[in-house]
Amino acid sequence: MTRGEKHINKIILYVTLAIIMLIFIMPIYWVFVTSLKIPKEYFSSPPVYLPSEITFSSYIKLFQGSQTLHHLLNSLIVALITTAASVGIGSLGAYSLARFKIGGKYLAFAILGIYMFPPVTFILPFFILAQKLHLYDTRLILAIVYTGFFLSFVVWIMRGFFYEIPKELDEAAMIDGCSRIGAFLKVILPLAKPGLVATSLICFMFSWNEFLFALILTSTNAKTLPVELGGFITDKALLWGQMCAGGSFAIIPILVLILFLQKYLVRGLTFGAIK
Amino acid sequence: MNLTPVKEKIISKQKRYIHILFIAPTLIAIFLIIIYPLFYSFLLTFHKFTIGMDSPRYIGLRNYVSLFSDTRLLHSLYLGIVFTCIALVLEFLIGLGSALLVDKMIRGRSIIISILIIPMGVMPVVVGLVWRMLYHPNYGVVNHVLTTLGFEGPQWLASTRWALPALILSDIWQWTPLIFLVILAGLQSLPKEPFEAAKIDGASSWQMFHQICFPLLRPMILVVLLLRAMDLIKEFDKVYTLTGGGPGSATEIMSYYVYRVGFKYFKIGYGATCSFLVLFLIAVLSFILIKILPSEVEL
Repeated sequence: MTRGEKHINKIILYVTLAIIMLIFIMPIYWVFVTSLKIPKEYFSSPPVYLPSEITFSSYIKLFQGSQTLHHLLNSLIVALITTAASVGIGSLGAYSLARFKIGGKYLAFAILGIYMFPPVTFILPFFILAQKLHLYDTRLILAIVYTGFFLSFVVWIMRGFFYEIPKELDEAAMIDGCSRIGAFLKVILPLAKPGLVATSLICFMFSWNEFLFALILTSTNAKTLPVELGGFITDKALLWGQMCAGGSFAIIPILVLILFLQKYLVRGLTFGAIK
Repeated sequence: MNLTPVKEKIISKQKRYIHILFIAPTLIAIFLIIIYPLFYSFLLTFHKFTIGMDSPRYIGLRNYVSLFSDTRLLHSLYLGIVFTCIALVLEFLIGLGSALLVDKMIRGRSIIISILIIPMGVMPVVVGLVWRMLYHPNYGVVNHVLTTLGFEGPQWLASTRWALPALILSDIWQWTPLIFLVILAGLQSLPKEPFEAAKIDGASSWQMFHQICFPLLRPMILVVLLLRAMDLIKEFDKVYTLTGGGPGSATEIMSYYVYRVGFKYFKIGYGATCSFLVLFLIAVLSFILIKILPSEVEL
C-alpha cells in the first residue's frame, strides 16, 4: 500500500467514525437543546439544530405546580436504598460462592439465571402481593423488588472479582487475628473496589432508569421519574419542552456518573464475557 | 497446633455456620422476592381472575389452551422474533465493524469509548420519547436527513409498515455500543503472535480475520449476543413511549402484549399464562447460554 493510499484510508476511517459519533450523540443533544428552546422551535421544518434563543421556561414550568421534584426524590431514594442493599447483600453472597463454593456450579448459575427472568412474568404477582402487604405505592416495595432482581447481577459480577483475589490473603488476615467477617471487610473488600464501584454504578443506573415495575407498583406517592416521563405521552402529549427538561434530569445524573467512573464500568461490563 | 478432636469439630461447625451466614441474606431475599411470586403467578395461570371477581376461580388448563387460539399473542410472538433477530444482526454487524475500525486507532480511542457508552445509560423511556420527536414525518430530524440525502422519508410511527423498523433503529442506537465494547475489549486482548506469523506467511486481512480473529472472539461474541437476545425479547419501555404498541398492534411485542392483557384488559389469570410463555422463551435461550458458557469461557 502506498503512502497516499494509507493516508486516504485513515481519512475515511476518521470520517466514518465521526459520522457514527454524531449519530450516537444526536438524540441526547436533541433532548438537551429542545429543553432550552422556545416553544415554536420544538417542531419546525427544517428542524432547529441551534436555537435562536435559549430559555429556561420549560424547566420552570416542569417544576411548578407538578410533583416533579417529589418524583425525582423518589427515584433518588429508591436508587440509593436499592444500590446499598443489592451491593451489600450481594457481595456477601458472592464471597460465599467464591470462597466456600456453596452449592457448587449449580447455585451460581441458578442465581445468574434469575437476572435473566423477564420482568413481565412478575408484574401480575407483584401487583397483587403489594396490595395484600399494603405496600402498594410505597418506595419500600420498589426498593425490595429491585434488590431482588439486582442481587443476582451483583453476585455474578462480584464472584468473578473475588475469584481473582488470592485465598491466601484471607487466610493471612485470619491468622493475624481477624474473624472471617473482619477479613472480608478489612482486606478483601478494599481490594475488590473496582468491582464494587462498577456494580454500584450499574445498580444505581438500573434502578434510576427502571420503568415497568415502577409503573405497576406506584401511583402518586412513590411515583418515580421514568413513570412521570412515561405519563407525558398519554396526558400531555404536547408539552415537548417540559418533557425534554424532565428527560435531561433523567440523563444527566447517569451521564455524570458514567463519565467519572467509566474505567470501572467498562471493566465491569466486559468482565462477564472475557476472563 | 494440636487440637483435640472435640475442638476441631467445634471449629469446623463454626466454619460452616459462617459460610451459610454469608449467603443466607441473598438466598432469603431471592426466595421471598423472586421464587415465591413466581410460584404465585404460576398458580394464577390455572385460574380465571378478572374485574368483578372477588377471588380467582380455578379453571384447570383452560388458559393454556387459549394460548393456541390467541392470534394476537401469536402475532406478538412473531413480532418479537422479527424484532429480536433483525436488531441482533444489525447490532452485531455495526458493533463488529466499529470495533474493528477503532481497534486500529491509537489516539482518540478513549474519547470514542466514553461517547459510545452514553446511549446505554440513557433511560429507555427517554429514548422512546426523543426518538418520537426525531421520527416526526414532517418536522423530525430523521426525515430531514433523509430528504437532504435525496430520499423520501416514510411516515414512521404512523405507518404500520415502518413503526417496527423505527423501534428496531431506536434499540440499535441504544445497544450497539455494548457489542462494540465487548468486541473491542476482546480484540485488544488478543495475542499478537498468531497475526504476525500469519502476516509472514502472506495471509490477507480477510483470512487473518476469518481464521484467527473470529474463532478466538467467538465465545464472548456468543455470550453477548445471547444476553442481548434475551433483553430484546423482554423489551417494554421503548415500546410504551415510542409507539404504545401501535399503530394498532404493529409493534405489540410480547412483553407489551402481556402488560395489555393484564393491566388494560384485566385478565390476570390469562395474562400470567402469557407471561409464562415469555419466561419459557427466555429459559430456552438461557439454557443455550449455560450450555456454551462453561465450555467456552473459563470461570
